[in-house]
Amino acid sequence: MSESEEDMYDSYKSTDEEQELDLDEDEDEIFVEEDDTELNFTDVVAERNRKKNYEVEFNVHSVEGIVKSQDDEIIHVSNILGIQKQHAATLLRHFRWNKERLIERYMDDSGSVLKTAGVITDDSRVPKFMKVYGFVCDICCDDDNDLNTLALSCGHRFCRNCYEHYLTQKIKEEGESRRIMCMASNCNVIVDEKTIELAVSPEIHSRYRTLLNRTYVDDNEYLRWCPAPSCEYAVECHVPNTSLTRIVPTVECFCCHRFCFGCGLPDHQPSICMLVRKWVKKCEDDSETANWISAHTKECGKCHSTIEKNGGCNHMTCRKCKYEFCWVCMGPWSEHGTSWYNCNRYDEKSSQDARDQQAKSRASLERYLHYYNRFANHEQSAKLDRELYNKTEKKMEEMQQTSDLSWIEVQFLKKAVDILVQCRMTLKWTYAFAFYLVRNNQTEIFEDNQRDLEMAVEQLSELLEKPIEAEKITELKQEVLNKTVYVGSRREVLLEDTAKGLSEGRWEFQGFEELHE
Amino acid sequence: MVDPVSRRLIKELKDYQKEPNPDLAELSPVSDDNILIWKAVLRGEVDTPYEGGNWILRIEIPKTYPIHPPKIKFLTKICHPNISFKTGEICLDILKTAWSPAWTLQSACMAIRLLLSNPEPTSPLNCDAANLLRCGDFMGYESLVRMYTQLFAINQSSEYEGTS
Repeated sequence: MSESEEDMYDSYKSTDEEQELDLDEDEDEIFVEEDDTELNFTDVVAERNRKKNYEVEFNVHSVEGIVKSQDDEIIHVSNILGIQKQHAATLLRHFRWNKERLIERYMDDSGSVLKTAGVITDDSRVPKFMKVYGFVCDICCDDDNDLNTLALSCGHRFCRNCYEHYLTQKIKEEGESRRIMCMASNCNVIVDEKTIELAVSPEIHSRYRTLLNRTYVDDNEYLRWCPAPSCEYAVECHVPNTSLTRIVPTVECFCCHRFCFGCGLPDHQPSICMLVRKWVKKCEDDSETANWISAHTKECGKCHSTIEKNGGCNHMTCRKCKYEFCWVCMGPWSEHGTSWYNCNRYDEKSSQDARDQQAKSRASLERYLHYYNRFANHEQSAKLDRELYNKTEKKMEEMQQTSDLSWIEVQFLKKAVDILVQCRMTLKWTYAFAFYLVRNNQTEIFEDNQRDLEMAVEQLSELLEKPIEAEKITELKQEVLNKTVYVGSRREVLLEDTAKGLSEGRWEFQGFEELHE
Repeated sequence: MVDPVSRRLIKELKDYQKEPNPDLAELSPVSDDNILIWKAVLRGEVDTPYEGGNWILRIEIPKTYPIHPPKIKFLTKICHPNISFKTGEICLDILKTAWSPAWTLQSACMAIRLLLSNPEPTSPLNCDAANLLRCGDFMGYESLVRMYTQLFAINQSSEYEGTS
């Protein structure tokens, strides 16, 4: 290589190095910017606001909101189809608020749609009270000339009194609102809201409006009333019924009640609705009585009567058919010779089959009891933890008096109890989930998460039960805060993993063929 | 002044008397003292296993009639999937949820008569009769109905039994 070439090479090299340095400087600048962003906490906030796998989007609606939604849809349909609002409302209710289906059908055959929905769009026949000379009401047979009468668009005329009684009975006693028909027999014309407002008292009309709001929510598969007592909010959640095998749509109402949108039961994460139904049924009915019978009794080998052993002797005689057999191996007693109390016959097929059946049954019962006891224990603990609220109130007051902490500063105790109760409920349902879970590597991970949460919950529970020592309040506060955050994060990890597993179809459940199709 | 229920019932009675219904041998209040309890005698339809029979119905009319339906039951024993053999109770939608104030006692009785020849075995009050229809044994069903018609509804005194 010549000198000039070497020089050239050097110059190239130095340029490269300079470029590298420049790049480094750029990187430094970029890094500083990133650092700056971290200082602004935007990433942290974004991470916190990110929807978790086990969360669903939902909205809570007040009665006013529901009324507004109805009105908006009615106006929309009324404008598209060019019909009066009360007729649009009747059509929408007939089609259970399925706007798209209504418009499609109406465009195809408006006459048929109007007929089946019980609507006559005759603008000249506006329902109003009027006196008709010589009119006799077919219902009460009154023929008074001063009689106020009312006819729907179908033309069937009856007196005001009869209409009022009829509508009051339909609304107040039968709880009907969506399909109140004309009083004439075989007439399916619907009494619209305008007519009802005209004919009944304000009290009955208010009841009618309430019932209409109810039907709006009941007819809409994406709306559900909050099941908490005396709560008037409705929750909207766009999770179709078909997704309930892959997601647990837990929602929270403004009244703080957390429930599953799919089945309306209180929050049962991480268990899916189908599994919850099966588990609740298993626990409620006597499905385990059969298991107890098969675990603690045996069948006579001859007549199959159920026999419970009531003495120490293994030489059994069936009371029904007088068949003699050995309780230990279930084989015929005649094969036993003189060995009365201890049976060492192990290999005979007849004995082995009987023993296997018995062992299976006992194992099944013990497995169920293992999960049920833990499920019930957390349920009971959650109830007791709720009672902790009262103790916590006292503790919080005590803390304020014995230290310089303000009311706001002692709220950490209440938050800890809230998290504790929530985690207990989650733990409770993990046992139902685990009961139906097919054992594999995934199960191990699930059980590890379950164990971690359980340990953390017990530690937090213990902390909250501790008596307060004035000099250790700051330590206690720090400890409770740390443990609360940790317990919350353990719950999140468990729910995140199970939800992810459900959406990926990673979990296998026994006895749920419909989930594996 | 006559109350609306009495006014309506008097009109119904007059309508029936003015134009008697051959399928309804009788339709009138049991006594002059109480217009809210009526009696009807239903004739069995020709070419059905009920042919030749006469069944007495007891009709209790509520004070809110015709907004609310009347309570109607058979006093004469009858074999029918939708009628209780013991109590005479009738399972018919127009006497419950599908009632309309425009229906009259006469039209209600005619609906019951129509039910006799059009049984609905899916909502039975008499399971034995319903099971025969469900398993398709129409001959067995008809002969059973004929037997009970013969036993209880033919040549029986049409005298009203006030006992319920």
